[in-house]
Amino acid sequence: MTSIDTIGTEATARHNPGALGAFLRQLLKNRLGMLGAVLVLVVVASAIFGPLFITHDPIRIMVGPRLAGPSADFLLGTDQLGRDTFSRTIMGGRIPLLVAFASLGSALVVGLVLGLIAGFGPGWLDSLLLLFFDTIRSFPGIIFALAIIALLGPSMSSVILVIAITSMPIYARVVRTQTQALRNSDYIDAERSMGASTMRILAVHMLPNVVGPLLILVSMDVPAVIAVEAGLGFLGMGVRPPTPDWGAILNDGYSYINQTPWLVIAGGIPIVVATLGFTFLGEALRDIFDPKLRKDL
Amino acid sequence: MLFYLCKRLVLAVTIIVTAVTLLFLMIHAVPGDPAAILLGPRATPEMKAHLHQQMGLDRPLVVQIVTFFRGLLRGDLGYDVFSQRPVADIVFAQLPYTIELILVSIFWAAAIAVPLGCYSAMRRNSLLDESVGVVAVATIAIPSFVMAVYALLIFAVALRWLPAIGPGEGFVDGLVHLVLPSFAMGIGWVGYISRLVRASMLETLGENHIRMARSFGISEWRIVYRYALPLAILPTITVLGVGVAWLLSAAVFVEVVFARPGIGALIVQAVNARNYPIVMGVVVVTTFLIVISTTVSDLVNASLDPRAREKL
Amino acid sequence: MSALLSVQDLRVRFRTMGSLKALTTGTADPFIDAVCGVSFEIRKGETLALVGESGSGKSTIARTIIGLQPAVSGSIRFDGEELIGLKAAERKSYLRRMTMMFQDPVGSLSPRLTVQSLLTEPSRIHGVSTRDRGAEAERLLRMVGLPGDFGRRYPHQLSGGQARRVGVARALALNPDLIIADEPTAGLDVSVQGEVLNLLARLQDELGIAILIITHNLNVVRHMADRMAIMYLGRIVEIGSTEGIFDYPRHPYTQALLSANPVPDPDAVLNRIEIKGEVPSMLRRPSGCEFHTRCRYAQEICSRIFPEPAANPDDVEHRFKCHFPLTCETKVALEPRPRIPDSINAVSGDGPE
Ligand SMILES: Nc1ncnc2c1ncn2[C@@H]1O[C@H](COP(=O)(O)OP(=O)(O)OP(=O)(O)O)[C@@H](O)[C@H]1O
Ligand code: SF4
Ligand SMILES: [Mg+2]
Repeated sequence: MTSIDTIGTEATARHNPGALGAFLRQLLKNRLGMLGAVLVLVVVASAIFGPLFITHDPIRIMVGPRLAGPSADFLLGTDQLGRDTFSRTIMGGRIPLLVAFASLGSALVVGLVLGLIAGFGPGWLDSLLLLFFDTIRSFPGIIFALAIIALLGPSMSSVILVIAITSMPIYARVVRTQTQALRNSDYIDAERSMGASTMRILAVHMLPNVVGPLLILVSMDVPAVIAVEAGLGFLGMGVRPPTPDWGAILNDGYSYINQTPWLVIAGGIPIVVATLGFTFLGEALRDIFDPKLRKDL
Repeated sequence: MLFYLCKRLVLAVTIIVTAVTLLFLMIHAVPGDPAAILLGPRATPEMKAHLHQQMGLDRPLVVQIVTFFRGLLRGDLGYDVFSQRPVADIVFAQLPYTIELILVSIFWAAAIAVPLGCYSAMRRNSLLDESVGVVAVATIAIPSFVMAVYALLIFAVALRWLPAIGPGEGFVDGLVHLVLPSFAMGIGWVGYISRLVRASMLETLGENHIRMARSFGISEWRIVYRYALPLAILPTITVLGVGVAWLLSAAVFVEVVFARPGIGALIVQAVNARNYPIVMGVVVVTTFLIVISTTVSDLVNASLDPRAREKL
Repeated sequence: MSALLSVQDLRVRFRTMGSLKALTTGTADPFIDAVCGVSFEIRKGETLALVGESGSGKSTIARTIIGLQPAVSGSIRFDGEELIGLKAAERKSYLRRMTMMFQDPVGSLSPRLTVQSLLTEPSRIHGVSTRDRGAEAERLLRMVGLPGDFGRRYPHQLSGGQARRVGVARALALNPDLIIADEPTAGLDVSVQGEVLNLLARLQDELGIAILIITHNLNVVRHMADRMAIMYLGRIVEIGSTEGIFDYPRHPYTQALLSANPVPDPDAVLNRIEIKGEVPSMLRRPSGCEFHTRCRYAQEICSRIFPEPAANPDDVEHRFKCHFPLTCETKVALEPRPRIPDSINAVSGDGPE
């Protein structure tokens, strides 16, 4: 519980025009980071341009025989309903990416706002919010997610909500710690001494200094979110069939594991590729931009 | 320290109370009648009303919360109307399986990771160190259920070396049935622990008395095992406390994949059956576990490092 | 003569521990009075220097005047208007007319803003419409002797001296009547210090601004200030014209402070008077005259009775709090000694014991 507090207190207030070029040069030097970037590119591209590649309608049943092995027509075989596994796998990346984007995006915004309030507001509000953050953080991951899904029913929006709720406290805590470190800094005092309003101080002078480390943290959470989404899909608690989704494909594969290995392969490999890609890329981002962010989250 | 201890314990209790209250409010914020969902579409109003009464849903929210807390103090988590048994009995019957799985996984992971971490620290930036670093990041990233399904596919289905599912019967058979599940759960921890041990070992090896021992010509491995490791291992233990949430999540998947009993399997069944009392019971018990373990690890941390006491 | 800023009996306190902790450790009074009944005035166009050891409460006074710190009691009048108790919105109009420069030249500039945005920040805050922000920034930069293209730089690309000039420019942006400068020369090279002080002095002459300058450095005081106030443990122990105090310090603490000042001319060796002992904690203020634990003239009465403020007979503006103020004879000890051989390091003198 304590390790989170120290993250990102060292505000990196670097800014220069050639930053993008310098970043790309550093990324090129980081071999794992490059590998991650390539994997991420593959995953994102196939999700976006998937419809151009697919050979069959991913949700039409009985386009082929049931549980067939790979063939020229069905590159990765077919599932128990005779749907084309290759097309389903290509399209199955959309949901995890969408979920990651939506859930982490909202967690980021909410975490940012609550963190700023906790860090800048009165002490009692800070304590109250901290208690709230710590409480959510002591809910048990997937088990808590399952409980929420039991209440709301399995759907993509339940998954997004659950992930947003459980990721938010860490962001809020980081923002809070950093806000507290900055709130007594000379330049914030200087702004206040000029009569700047609290809103202006938060938006113009606090936010830009807090958001950098936060974005790195968020990017490092992407693989975990993909894993949770796929895991819930695997348990049948994610997106509803027949929408293609890696976790759901893996679940089909698990059910028919004695008949064919291909569904397991088709569902699992993309999950591994996506999580590894985002992990390597995230680590590289952190190493480049903010080496002080702690590794052991 | 005493001051910190008291504050930390008060915080732990507050978190548990807040957590349970939040859970309760969540259940009631959701539209829909739990009793109606439980009974299905063909239920008559009388059946619903009866179930309502049985589950205590007909009373005001505050009364329900207070009743629940009062029960909690007695170790009572409510009553499961399906099986006509107390929720606590059901949950605590499954808990040992999960804890066994977690302990075995952590044990083998640590048994491999600690020497690996020591070696990495001693031969810093060697080929082994660097590759362990990469593999560690990779194994931490790959989700446990993918590991589990692949382990199942390769070792049980394709190679038929190991039993696929179930807890096994008797001690030896039980252990054999634990091999694949604990592999799937522990593999990520090998990387994680070895990196932690490496980091704190590097810190410890840089300290004065260790350098002194080295200047006496004591062999490197002996220094590591006799002097540095006991110091370096403590921070690792405190991180393990925080990892309990992680392990519990992994256990859910592993139990489902390998069809093992345990609270992970229990909650998945309960969610599928919309059996709210059981769901709530599992969440409360696991939240308890997490709060206890984070509290303990914070306390250990604080006793090791006075600076940690300032934060709270 | 009307005072621009008038501070009366100002008191500021800080909590030293949480109330829970105070309860468990049995501390009845978990506060310190960082500023303890301070009164002074600044007239239009005048410079007052606030001098004292680290921790004597100088910055706290400045922060309270500008409204960053609430006062417990007392009054702060700016141009006749009471500032204490004003809400943020009501205070805002005064913050246009009095500005503060903070101790850290680079650290007091918002790191993500360009110099141009920093310089036009005051007009944005106060809703002053400037037709051309670029031209406005350039005008301010030129005023403090920086090239106009500095507007595109970021704070971390500035040297300490340049950042300080930007700070001065920003303070001047809305033509204030009063500038509060907290250690404006701290952390700067000696040559840059001189430049900054000359700049401030020049601008003050041109624009008729009053300055409250906070400093450790007595050379700065001599160079800049019309009047000076010496602080000890959150109180002003002596206040008066700079000339008068340098010529004829009446409070033993002032004497010790002045004698401890390194003089720019390395050949001149002062009789340095050591102040013995530690600075007492504000948590446990000494009884009577709070300087008695370290004063070499202390008598029995000093530890019992707090000295009433007194004035110099021939200069009523020169006031001090001491039972046994220094007289002309004691002052002689401050005269420079005859020149001593070069081989003896002038700065290492440990006093005439
Ligand atoms: N925010 C605060 N909380 C608690 N105590 C404070 C706070 N700010 C200042 N103090 C205390 O008030 C006293 C006066 O501090 P202040 O900063 O005004 O001194 P100063 O004369 O400006 O010193 P320096 O020359 O080092 O800047 C010090 O004892 C300090 O510890
Ligand atoms: S009152 Fe006494 S102790 Fe205080 S300064 Fe004067 S002589 Fe020294
Ligand atoms: Mg100061």
